[in-house]
Amino acid sequence: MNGLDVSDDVRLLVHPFAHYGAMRDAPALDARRSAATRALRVMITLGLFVSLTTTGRVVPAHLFGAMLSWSFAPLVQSVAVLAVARIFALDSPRARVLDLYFAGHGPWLAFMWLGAGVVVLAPSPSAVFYFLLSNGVLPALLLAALAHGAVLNVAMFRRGLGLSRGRTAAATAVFYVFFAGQIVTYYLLNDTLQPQLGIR
Amino acid sequence: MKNVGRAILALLAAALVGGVAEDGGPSRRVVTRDGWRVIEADFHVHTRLSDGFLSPFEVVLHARRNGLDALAITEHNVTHPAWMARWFSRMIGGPTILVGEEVTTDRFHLIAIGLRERVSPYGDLGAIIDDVHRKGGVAIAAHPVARFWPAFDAVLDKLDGAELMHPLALGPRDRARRGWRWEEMRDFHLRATKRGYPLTPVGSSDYHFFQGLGVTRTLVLARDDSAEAILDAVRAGRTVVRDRDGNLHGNARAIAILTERPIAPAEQVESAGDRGYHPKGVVDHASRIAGWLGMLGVVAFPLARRRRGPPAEGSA
Ligand SMILES: [Zn+2]
Ligand SMILES: [Zn+2]
Repeated sequence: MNGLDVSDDVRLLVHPFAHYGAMRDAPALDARRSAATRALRVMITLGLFVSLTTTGRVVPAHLFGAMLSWSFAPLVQSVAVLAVARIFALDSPRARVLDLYFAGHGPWLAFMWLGAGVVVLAPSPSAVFYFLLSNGVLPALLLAALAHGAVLNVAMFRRGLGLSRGRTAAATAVFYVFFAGQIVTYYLLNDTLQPQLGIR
Repeated sequence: MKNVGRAILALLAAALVGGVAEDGGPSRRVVTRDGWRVIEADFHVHTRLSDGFLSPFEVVLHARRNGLDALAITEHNVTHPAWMARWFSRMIGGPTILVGEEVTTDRFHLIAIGLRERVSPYGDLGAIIDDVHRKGGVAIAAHPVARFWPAFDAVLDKLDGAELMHPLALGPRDRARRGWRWEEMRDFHLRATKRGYPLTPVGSSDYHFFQGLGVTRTLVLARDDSAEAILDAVRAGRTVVRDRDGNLHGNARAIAILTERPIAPAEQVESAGDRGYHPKGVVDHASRIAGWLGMLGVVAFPLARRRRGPPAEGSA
């Protein structure tokens, strides 16, 4: 690439299995620092997304406010992925598992960048969003990001952490149960879900 | 790689400087008509603590940006985000925050504003509205589209108000799915009035994310901008709502006051919706694009130099 190196997120977006394999073969020397940097990248992107879509500008209150109020996301993800590491007795250190995990957020980062682009570049962002929504493009993109995120999780367990096929499937399922479980628990504690499910 | 890192930093710094310089505009003026303070309010707002994007604090700042005098934070079945917003807003000098809750069930959504404490979402709607009143609040039918009519029709005598404007009105016409059409909200209000229940009309943005906080709002004729005065005005029906076709809804006296001397453009900060996104000039536009390109840089390039070693033990 002659000096212009692209992020692991982009490489994983294009070649999830091959690049997780490469990351396994050449792990970060300081995994803790690397994992923290990757999580920070996700949070900065989120902060920029929230600020640009709220005001069309990068404003400190929203950039840093969103990084703070969305910090539950990497926490919840870390708890889920570390729970999987424990259950499946992965021999990799925790920091390395997190380092691999936080490299695989490419689909969501790309989704946020495109969304912010509509706000920054379109003369009438709401017309574009209504158009994308009513033609099913936005839901399709969301689904694609979800699906691609799942492929990345599979690739991480299989190639990044070297699990067998069966254990990869189980680890992925357990990851999503733990991840969704924490969010659902929050809404249950707040009485948000029960009345909407007809519990009176 | 060092140069790429510097370029990303420079782009983000330019975006931040531009953002700070261009954010905000004229602050909201005090507008009075016929001895009343004209309050621009949004009574239906969500935050990151349920399903919105912004923290309670950011919502307060965004309300100032969008020229709102009053805001009710109405999270699904909880009130703590509203208390947080109120604390913050008092610290920075406004806007007025009403503690609210969107009582959310499968049969109805009810906006309760001006609460002293949380209202339980369990039980029948009539009892829930009684509880809202006991706790000092006002009960407003939230987006009363056809699927919620059976629940609301049974409590017309207890409701204080109904949402008549909502962003549902702003989408492409005739394409909304049945059961979620703005026309159904308008018809609910007209029908209730015809049946002898002149519910106070409310316009709210049901804000979750992006620009449009207050994109549809309520004009309230209140004694002053205190929460109590605003609640009294809602109880007394002193509100006016402009629907998407430009028709004014509200009691005849309130409409007369606001049509005799309409609100002048200089008295408003109307920046909600796409207008709020419009760049103010070349520098503003450039700084926004810089922010977006900086965002690409954060996504696409390594933030720190990679230091990698040989394969770990046993992982060959
Ligand atoms: Zn609702
Ligand atoms: Zn709502």
